[in-house]
Amino acid sequence: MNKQLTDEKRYILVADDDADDRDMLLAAFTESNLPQQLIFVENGEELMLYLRRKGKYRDEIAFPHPKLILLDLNMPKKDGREALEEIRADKHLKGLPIIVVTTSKEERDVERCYEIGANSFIIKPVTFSALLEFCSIISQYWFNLVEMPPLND
Amino acid sequence: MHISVHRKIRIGFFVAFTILVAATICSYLIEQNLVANALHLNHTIQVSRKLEVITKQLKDAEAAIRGFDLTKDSTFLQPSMDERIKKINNEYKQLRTITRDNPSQQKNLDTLKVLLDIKYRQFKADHLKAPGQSAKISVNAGETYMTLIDRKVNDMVHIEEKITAEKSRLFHFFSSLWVPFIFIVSILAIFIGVYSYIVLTKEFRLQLYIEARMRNYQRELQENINLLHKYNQDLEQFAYVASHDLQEPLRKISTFSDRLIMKYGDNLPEDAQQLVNRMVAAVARMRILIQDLLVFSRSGRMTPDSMEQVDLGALLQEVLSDFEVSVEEKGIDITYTEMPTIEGSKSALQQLFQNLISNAIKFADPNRPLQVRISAETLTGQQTGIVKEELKDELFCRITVEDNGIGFEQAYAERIFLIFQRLHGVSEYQGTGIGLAICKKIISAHHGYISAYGYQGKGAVFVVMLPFKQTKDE
Repeated sequence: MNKQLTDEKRYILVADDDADDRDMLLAAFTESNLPQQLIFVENGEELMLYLRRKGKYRDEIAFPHPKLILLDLNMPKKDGREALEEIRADKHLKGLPIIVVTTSKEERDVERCYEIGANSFIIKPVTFSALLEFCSIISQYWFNLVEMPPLND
Repeated sequence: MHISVHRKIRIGFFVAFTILVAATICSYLIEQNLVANALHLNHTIQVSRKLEVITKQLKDAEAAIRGFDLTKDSTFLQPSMDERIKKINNEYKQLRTITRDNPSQQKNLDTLKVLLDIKYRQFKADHLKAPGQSAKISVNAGETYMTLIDRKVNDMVHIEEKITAEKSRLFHFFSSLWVPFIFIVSILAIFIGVYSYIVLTKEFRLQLYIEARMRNYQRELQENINLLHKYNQDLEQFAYVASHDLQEPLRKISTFSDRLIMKYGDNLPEDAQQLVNRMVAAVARMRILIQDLLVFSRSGRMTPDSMEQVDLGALLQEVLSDFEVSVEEKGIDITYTEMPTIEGSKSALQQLFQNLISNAIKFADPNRPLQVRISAETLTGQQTGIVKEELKDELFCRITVEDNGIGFEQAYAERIFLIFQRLHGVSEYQGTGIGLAICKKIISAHHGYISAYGYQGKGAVFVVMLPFKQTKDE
């Protein structure tokens, strides 16, 4: 039953410290009626705990394994770059698709993120309509067009 | 009048050297004289001694003959007359050799020879004749010739002595000159030595002082450079913060206002909608400004390894291909002459041309088709007339971008290169006023110069001066 649910509902794990951005993203996803469900963590450390099922994230049912990660770069405690490197170095996690979503396109950030294994690098949309479009494209591309790696748990 | 230390040292060494050479020459001359004098003294003694020997032999011979005459004792004739004559001749030959470089002595010797020969004959006659016969006459004749010989010998000794006296006079002259000369030279040498020591010590101290100062300056300079690097890093950090953190709230304002309009737009009165729209527009402009500021802050950033040989012709062609669409749409005519290859950052120079051309296109006169002429020529630093003295032999490339657009008043020629400086309202022409500021920054980073000439309503000319080679001054 639970397994079925996880398969049907594709989860997207969003790591972003900005509450406004999280709210907006959730609103955009909800308003677009997209089938994916968003789970939020607030920094890199929480993201790693979540993925490794440690601390408060032990419960597999409450915290299902995501199919895709939207990763903000600048976060407290552990920033997006460190988290990205850690995920790519972890043999259980390295196959996870990760989209870096951040405020500015600092050239060295773009280069570095692809170097350390980001699948995409996207600048946060500046209008709500652009955000809606962003959500639908993400859903379209990563959950309909692209073949995702099987979940390995 | 100030004489440089180098000159002083050179003059000091020159004087010391001259004195040394002069002293050497004088010493040599005096020594030569001394040796000549000694030799001559020796010569005189020899001549005198030999003449003495001759005279003595003659007198001995005469005495022997007289003794034999009186006693008839044949022991008086030992040694024999021939032996005595041989001895005298021997001495005489030696005298000839010794005095061969003195003609008057040789002449005297000739006379002496004649007298000696007469004397020999007398000796032989005296000692062969029968005892007691006319001994008186022969004694008288013998004495007469003996006196003549004595006189000749005295003459010769006198000549030698005269020469010796002359030589010694010269010698005295030289030696009397020598002592004060040596004294003066010594004093002079000591003076120069002391003076050189003082000057060199002073110079050395000055050098040490200067070196210490230089080291100080160097350290200060290094500290300043480090500080500058730190400031640059801070600035970069600021640029990053500006691009990232400052944009964050802006993005939110626009997202929220967008959402506000989307969700509640229908319920808002029209003037409220207007206000929100204006807010959105202001935020959009703010974002563009921030982004431009960021571009500007990055545009001058050039590392030595980003420098390469850039073919400006190929680069220009590449840049123009980006403008192809607008060129065709608006019927713009862009021409350019042959372009050189210069050292520089390719991306920066690309940006430079891009900005200059888009600037020309932006400020085209709507009443006539735009013409842009780009030309390049090679000049020396001196010909450019604006570069520093030490660069006058460097080669520069002068690029002129000329258009027939709306132009500007020459009074603003400097201002247009300042960041966010605009000559027109935002509603007339878009943009933040960053393009030419970036151009200026790029050219400064390439150690070049840019200037603008505006002709209101007629067009503008931008003159770029770039060195062919970049100095590694990092």
